[in-house]
Amino acid sequence: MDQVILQGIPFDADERGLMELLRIRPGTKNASEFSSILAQAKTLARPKAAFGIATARTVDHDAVEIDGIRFTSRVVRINLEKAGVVFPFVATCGTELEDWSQGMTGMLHAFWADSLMLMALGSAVGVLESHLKERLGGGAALSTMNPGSLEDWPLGEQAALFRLLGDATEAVGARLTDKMVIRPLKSVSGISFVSEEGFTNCSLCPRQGCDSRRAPYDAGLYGKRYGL
Amino acid sequence: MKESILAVRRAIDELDIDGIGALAVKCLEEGLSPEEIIQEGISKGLEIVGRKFEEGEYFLADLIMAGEVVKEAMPILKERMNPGGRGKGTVILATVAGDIHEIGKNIVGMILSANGFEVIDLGVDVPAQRILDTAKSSGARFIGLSALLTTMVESIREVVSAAGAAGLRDRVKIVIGGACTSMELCKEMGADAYGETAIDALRIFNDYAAGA
Repeated sequence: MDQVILQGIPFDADERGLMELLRIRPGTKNASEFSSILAQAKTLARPKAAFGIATARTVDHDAVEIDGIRFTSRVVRINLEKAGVVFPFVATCGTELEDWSQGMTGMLHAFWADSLMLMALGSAVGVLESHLKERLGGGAALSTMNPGSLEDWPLGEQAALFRLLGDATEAVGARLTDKMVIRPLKSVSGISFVSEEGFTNCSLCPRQGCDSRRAPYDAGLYGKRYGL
Repeated sequence: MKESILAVRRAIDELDIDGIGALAVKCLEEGLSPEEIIQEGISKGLEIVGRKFEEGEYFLADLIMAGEVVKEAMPILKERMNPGGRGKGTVILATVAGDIHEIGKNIVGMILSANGFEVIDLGVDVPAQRILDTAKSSGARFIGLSALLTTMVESIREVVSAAGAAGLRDRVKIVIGGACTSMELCKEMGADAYGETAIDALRIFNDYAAGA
């Protein structure tokens, strides 16, 4: 599988916007502490991403193979069999920022560091998406699935995805623990694919009160589109 | 209700970290007891923040900043508290083995501390045995377990089972929370309660403390 490693991703953080988001009042002791922490993060942050370019082959009703690695999920099979080319990926805030965050003391500073790591991951994902869209000629509708986001594609499938990505995960400093947690913690893995009808994990996820929801839950979608 | 104690509530609701210390001192100078200020000012202020969080008006950053505001006031009040005063009991908090997410657990700890509980926070990736050893040595009656990912469900189950095997289930209440947990899971594994939010956790532990 061809692989692309994306390094040197800039970490642009708007201090005023962040302070508003984190409820830090300008001119306070907290504001000056945050400025100092943000400056450290900007110096250290090295967000990274890696992706592969492959095709998925349906092996049975509930599974596909990509580069000889089996992924077991009805939703993945149906989404990917129409897609043609697929892009397995991992994106991360980088070990540099996670190592730095371990030195934070107190809940507030730890929360700020966590938020900055999340922003760095956002930078990595943004650059990754731009690369994929550019590669597809700009007009393609790109969708993404992540192991663990749906009951039908559980977190345990992360292991197969890391096997598929192979050395690329090491190149960006991402590793998988035996409990399927990606370190650095602010990392994300998944498979992006072209989908004219569009796919969002959230449409199949009934969880309420989720801050990350990007689409309403469609209770009938499992049955309508996936026969589950 | 005195205006000064209402001002403490407002300071927490408005996340006024620079103003809260002076307001706590003013309450004390007016003759209010630290316990009264915590109960009617701090706790009620956190209740307002918690309600706004549950209604979607406030976000995680507001909740954490409210905790910081409370932390500014607590040393001033604790200095004047009756050393023989009885709290609501001890809660052991831990993110279970294999998991290293801690923000949710930390928020629960902050809210419980501000509401009169003694909190022993064991941190993240905590083995079941350490949680039980701490429950035995501290005499704590409450355990709060946190986990984010579905692969950690077995780690929670291990604590609940091991507590049973160690004969602790009659005296220790186990409350679970975190994205991978649910009421169904709580019932299935025999934990005592499930809290979806930190505010839920406070209600649950308050109920247990009141009933004990």
